[in-house]
Amino acid sequence: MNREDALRSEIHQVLDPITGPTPELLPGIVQRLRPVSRRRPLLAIGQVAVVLGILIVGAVVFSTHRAPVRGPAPVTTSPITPIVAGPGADIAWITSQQSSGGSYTGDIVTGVDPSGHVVGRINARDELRSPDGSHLYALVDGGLDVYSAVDGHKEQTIRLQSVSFGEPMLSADGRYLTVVGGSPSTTLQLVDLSAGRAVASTNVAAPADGVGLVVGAHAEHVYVVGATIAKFAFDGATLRAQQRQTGHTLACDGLVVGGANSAGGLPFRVLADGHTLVAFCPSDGRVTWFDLDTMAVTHEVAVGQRNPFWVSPVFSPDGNTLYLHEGGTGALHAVDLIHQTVKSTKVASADNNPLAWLRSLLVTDAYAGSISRTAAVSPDGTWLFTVGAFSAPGGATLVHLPDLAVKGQWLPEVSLHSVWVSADGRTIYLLENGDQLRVLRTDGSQVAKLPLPAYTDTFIVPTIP
Amino acid sequence: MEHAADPDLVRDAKRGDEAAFTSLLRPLLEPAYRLAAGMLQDRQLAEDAVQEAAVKAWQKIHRLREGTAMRPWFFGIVANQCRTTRRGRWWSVLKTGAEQRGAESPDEEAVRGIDLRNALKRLRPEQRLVVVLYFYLDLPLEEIATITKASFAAVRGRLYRGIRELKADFPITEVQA
Repeated sequence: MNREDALRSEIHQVLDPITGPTPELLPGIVQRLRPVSRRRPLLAIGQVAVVLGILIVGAVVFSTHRAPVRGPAPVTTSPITPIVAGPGADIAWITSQQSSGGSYTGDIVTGVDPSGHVVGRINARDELRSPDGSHLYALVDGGLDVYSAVDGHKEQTIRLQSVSFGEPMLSADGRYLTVVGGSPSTTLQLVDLSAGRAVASTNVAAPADGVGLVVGAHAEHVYVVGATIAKFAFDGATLRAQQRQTGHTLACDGLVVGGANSAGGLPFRVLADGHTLVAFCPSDGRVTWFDLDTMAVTHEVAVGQRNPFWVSPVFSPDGNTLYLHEGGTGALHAVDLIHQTVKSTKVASADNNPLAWLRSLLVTDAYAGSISRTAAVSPDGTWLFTVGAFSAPGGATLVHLPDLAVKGQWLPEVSLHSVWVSADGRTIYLLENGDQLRVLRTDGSQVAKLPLPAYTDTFIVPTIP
Repeated sequence: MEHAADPDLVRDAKRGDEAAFTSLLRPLLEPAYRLAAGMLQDRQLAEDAVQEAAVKAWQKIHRLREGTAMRPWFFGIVANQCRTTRRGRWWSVLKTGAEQRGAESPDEEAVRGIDLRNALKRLRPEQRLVVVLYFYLDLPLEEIATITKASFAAVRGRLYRGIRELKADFPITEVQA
């Protein structure tokens, strides 16, 4: 019997006595079906009648006080300022999950250029993309594969110590990569990507599960952030444990929920001051400021969210603002990370469907899943593209960030779940339900629509911690 | 992966045929109860949760799309109901707190059982759900992803993290076949 079967057997032994024999449930259920089924239409009719009445009165009042609303004027979101990006940075790389016998076996990663042509395919797992967008990295057994983002060809394999459940992370400048993981003890490995080799490793001891965070141009400090935070100093050759913070640190007991690229990006960033870590916790909607020098939480705010994992976090290009977009409701929070203030508004579906809000009265949703990338910021920080009505049509919404105003909408009849903007800001990639990719220009014109391998998941976006 | 629900029964159920609905529901009640019991670790709460979930499923049956499997759809509702039950009964946090080992030294197997049960309770709800579905209901990860409305990778990650947390609390003995 292998370890998995042994654990399965133990869990059965523990839970079977709690469960006991299954009680007779059906009679009680059947009793409750009839009254519900009779009452429900009357209740619904009553609710709809009330709502319609309100809407009619509202429409009359509105029409007497306001000019007719015109459709949005054509909007262009072309960038104001160019950004520095590497080769291939305008190419979208999209994961499609593969399985065999019910077990995850890795991803097919498809590269699509701004003209809608497939430029390459990679078989990989645990992928990251360099901050300049030019390379893709994937953990393999005992190593790290490095791919070109131009066409997906493998450039090299960097040897690493073998780890189980390794969590990779890049430094903000893309020079260093850390891998935290291993069994039985947790190891931190530091890789100098410019040198193409692992330069140091050390035993972390605790936290057992964490993400490596590199601070400094030469990785002077490396933090392992999990349920606790451990700080290491790097002198160019060795990593030395320096400080350890235990107990409450971040809301999520770590930086990343559900894998390094679970949000198609990252829910954390180190601010420009170089010592303030800001992390968003998708479980409870809290944003935490953590001082990496004093190793202490300095501030926290909580944004309202209807359900865990509904909110997609995305940082402004300058890293000073965190946008939190709740795909299911269209709520948008702009968190000023410098002044620690929050400005909230509503975008998307509520503007298109006047009855959309009614759904929240009649339906209680729970969406305990990973985070979809429902928002992306243009490279110049002017526009936010949002999608995500959770399987419902709604298209993409264009939000003008300086005033958080909705300025336009694309493909309103289409159900979209993820969005990414190319590094030059001229191409918008949209993942549609049903494993379809749409490629759009900044004026909303569609360049291409193409199918992707089944179980399409998300974009591998540049990693900027 | 679970097969799609009988389209005739689904159609009849959508038209308000209770018998058709109960025919769809009947084979799912036993595993649904085990799921709820595994999540809530309380028989009465589990029974209530499954009943409540069944009523909600009846109310939402019109949303079950043609060709969709009934089991993951219904189990998703049961899982949500378990979450609601846990949130609504805040005092149950106290009630279901970690069990203490008795003063007398029980045998090793019993101790391991208590430790594992405590470790299961301490898992985050989303982790516990995946662990229960995978290890107790023996469902494939694909179906668990459908139930939890999560990506395959997220489910895999939760499962691995759940296992690791269980292992941290409970030393698994390698059993030779």
